[in-house]
Amino acid sequence: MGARRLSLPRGIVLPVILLAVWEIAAHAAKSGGVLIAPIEQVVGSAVAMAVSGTLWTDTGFTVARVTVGFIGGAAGGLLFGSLIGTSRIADRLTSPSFHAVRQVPLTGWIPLAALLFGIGEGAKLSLIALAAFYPVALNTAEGLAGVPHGYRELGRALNFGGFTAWWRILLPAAAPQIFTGLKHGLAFAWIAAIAAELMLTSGSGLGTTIESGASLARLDIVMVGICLIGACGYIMAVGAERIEARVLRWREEGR
Amino acid sequence: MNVHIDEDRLMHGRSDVRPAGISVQLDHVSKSFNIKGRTLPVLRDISLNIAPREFVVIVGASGCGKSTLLRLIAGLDKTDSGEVKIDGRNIEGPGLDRGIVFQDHRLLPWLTAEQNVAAALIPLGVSKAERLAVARRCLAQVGLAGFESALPAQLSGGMAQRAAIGRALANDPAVLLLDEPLGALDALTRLKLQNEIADLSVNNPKTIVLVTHDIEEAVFFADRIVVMDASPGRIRKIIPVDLPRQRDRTGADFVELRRQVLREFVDDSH
Amino acid sequence: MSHTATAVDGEGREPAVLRRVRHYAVTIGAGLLLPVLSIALWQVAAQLQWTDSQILVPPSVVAATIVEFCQSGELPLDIAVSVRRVMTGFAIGGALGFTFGIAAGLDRRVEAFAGPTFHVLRQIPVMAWLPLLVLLAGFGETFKILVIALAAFFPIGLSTLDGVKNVSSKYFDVGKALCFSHRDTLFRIVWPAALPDILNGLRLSLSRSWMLVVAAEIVASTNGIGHRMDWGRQLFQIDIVFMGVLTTGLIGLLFDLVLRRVARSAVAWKGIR
Repeated sequence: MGARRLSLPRGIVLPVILLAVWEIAAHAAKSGGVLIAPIEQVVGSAVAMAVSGTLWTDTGFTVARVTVGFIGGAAGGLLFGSLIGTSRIADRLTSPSFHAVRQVPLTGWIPLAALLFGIGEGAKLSLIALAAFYPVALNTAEGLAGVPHGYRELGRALNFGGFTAWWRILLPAAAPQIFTGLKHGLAFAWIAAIAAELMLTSGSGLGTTIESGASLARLDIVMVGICLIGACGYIMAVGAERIEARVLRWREEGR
Repeated sequence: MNVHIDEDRLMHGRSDVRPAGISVQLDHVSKSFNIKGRTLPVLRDISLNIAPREFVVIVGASGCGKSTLLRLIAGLDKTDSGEVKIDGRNIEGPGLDRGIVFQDHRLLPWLTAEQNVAAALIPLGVSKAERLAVARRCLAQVGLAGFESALPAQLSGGMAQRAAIGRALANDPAVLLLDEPLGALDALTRLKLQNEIADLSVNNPKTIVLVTHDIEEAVFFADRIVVMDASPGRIRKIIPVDLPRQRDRTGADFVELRRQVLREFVDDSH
Repeated sequence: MSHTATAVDGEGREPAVLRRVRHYAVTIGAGLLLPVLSIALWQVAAQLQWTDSQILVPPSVVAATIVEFCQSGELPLDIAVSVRRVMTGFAIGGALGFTFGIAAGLDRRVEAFAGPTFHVLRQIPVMAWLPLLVLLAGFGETFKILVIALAAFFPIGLSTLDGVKNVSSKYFDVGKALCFSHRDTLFRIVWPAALPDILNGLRLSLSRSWMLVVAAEIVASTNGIGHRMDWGRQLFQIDIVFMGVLTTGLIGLLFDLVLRRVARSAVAWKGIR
């Protein structure tokens, strides 16, 4: 789910070819039912949207939803994961239900959410939070449970109290895995945000824009939306990796 | 590719039919590596003649390029200048005439012991059943009878290294290369395997080049000891050894030789 | 293993078998506690009309609906349709992703040319392509298969690429030293070494595909589980929606279990410690 360093010179060839094909198809297929918007039209729409401000509001709304939803879901995931990662009783009681509910794909919850919460912000945010919750909870639980026995013994040997052991040994030891969970959670939150906006069409957002653009058969708007989604997703992923690298400086292995 | 396989011996284990032995020659070999834009000279102008069926041990500190030298003989890397000749001919990469044992056994973890040894016979094009039959014989020779179906993860370090030696011997190469083969083992297992390798060199004569940083090991094995300097790697001295292959570690000759070799290293520790 | 320990100090000790049975009973019991309580609470709440009866339909009604739809054959048909779509799209996308992963993993030039495009496109959630694909491909089967293939392509492509690239150079050394042909190296070294990662990617791909078939069916379909759920939503029949939720969860679980089984036997060598 991470970002990579891209090799620019030869990597450009393929996109250029694809864009060229797109451009040719756009100008050729004037009839045939589908109007493929040529690249200049896409760029033009992008500029128009930027100028009119809709570009920024859409992006802003989506990013805001992702952030809020992610924080909520991740917080819940951290708490729940810590619980089942450290307490065997809690694990026994809640794990089966947790894993069972996890099997339902995200999109499977959307009709239910729509029915229960309508198509407003509540439904969207709950979906985003749910999407972030699972990976974070799972990885936190695994991370904490997987702290090597040797480290726990060390805590006892050094006479660390409960909280000290948790703060100075368990948490840092589990941190790499927890961060993996957070990164996955962010990626899923992003997907959930788009899905929610696509199917619960109310309010502004990148997903909603794409949906309305498609309903108007405006491929150019759709393309602008897609590009923005890709760009935002990438920036978020890179940001997450930077933060992780900073916090986990002590880790020697790269991945 | 030089192929010195005796099919008869492979299939029927006859020990009276042997290849005559092969020489290894290094002619002004140099090699450097590029690390982050800087060129690191690892070997400079190495020349060495190894006679057929001779047991040569290259000894030196870490970083003196001895492993690189072995890899060049094996054909896994190419020289920057100079030639590596096997049986008088320049080599072009690895060949079935040479078998190599790595320090970390490098058994393929998804294959059993016998499958790992049998893998050495794949390029020969023999059938799977024949490969496994030969493999089982090789495993017995290295003392792993009964462990044919074990996965590498289930073998101890010593056992895994034995299997690796079995694999290197499976297609009966004329040259055997060993890159610090016992370095990862505990002292007791090391002693045991040293004896077994010495026995092997008598019962199954080959041209053997072994690389080590252990002076004792060098004195135990070698017909000639090649002492190497580090940065860049050069041959400092070649010490001939006139002892029988299976030698007494506590004998006076042995101890004297050890002292001689030790002096090469301890002397310039400043 | 199941021997009866005789008492030394007069205190009876239960045989190991009984202990194991009790252990399982406790584990399963503990696990079922929460769901059973929740369902019971739900049933009570619905019957006592604590909330709007249209919103909170009691589990009994949901169960009845499931039975009804099974008997009429509609549910099995929905399931069959959705699963068939997933399988087709998964096969196509998976094959393409796998090919890409192998090619780019083994050949630096391929990676240099196709890699950046792959990684950039990977950042876009497949969900975002839905409206575009509807515009271009219409509402038919092609659209759905395309969506699923796209969903399967990226995780498999990425994990195959990573799996192949991560094959340790040490193993390549072994192949070289043993004079393996290119074909032998590919099948006997690259494939087994990369298999664990590839299988992980398969699992991820399948769950993504399943997620997206539901989405595609909600957006543009006249049959399938996703469509059934959306239909239930439009009719305000929450029992139908719940039925869909349960079904998708169950099928998702089955997919995951099957792949996990395959993984465990195919990569048995890794589990042994």
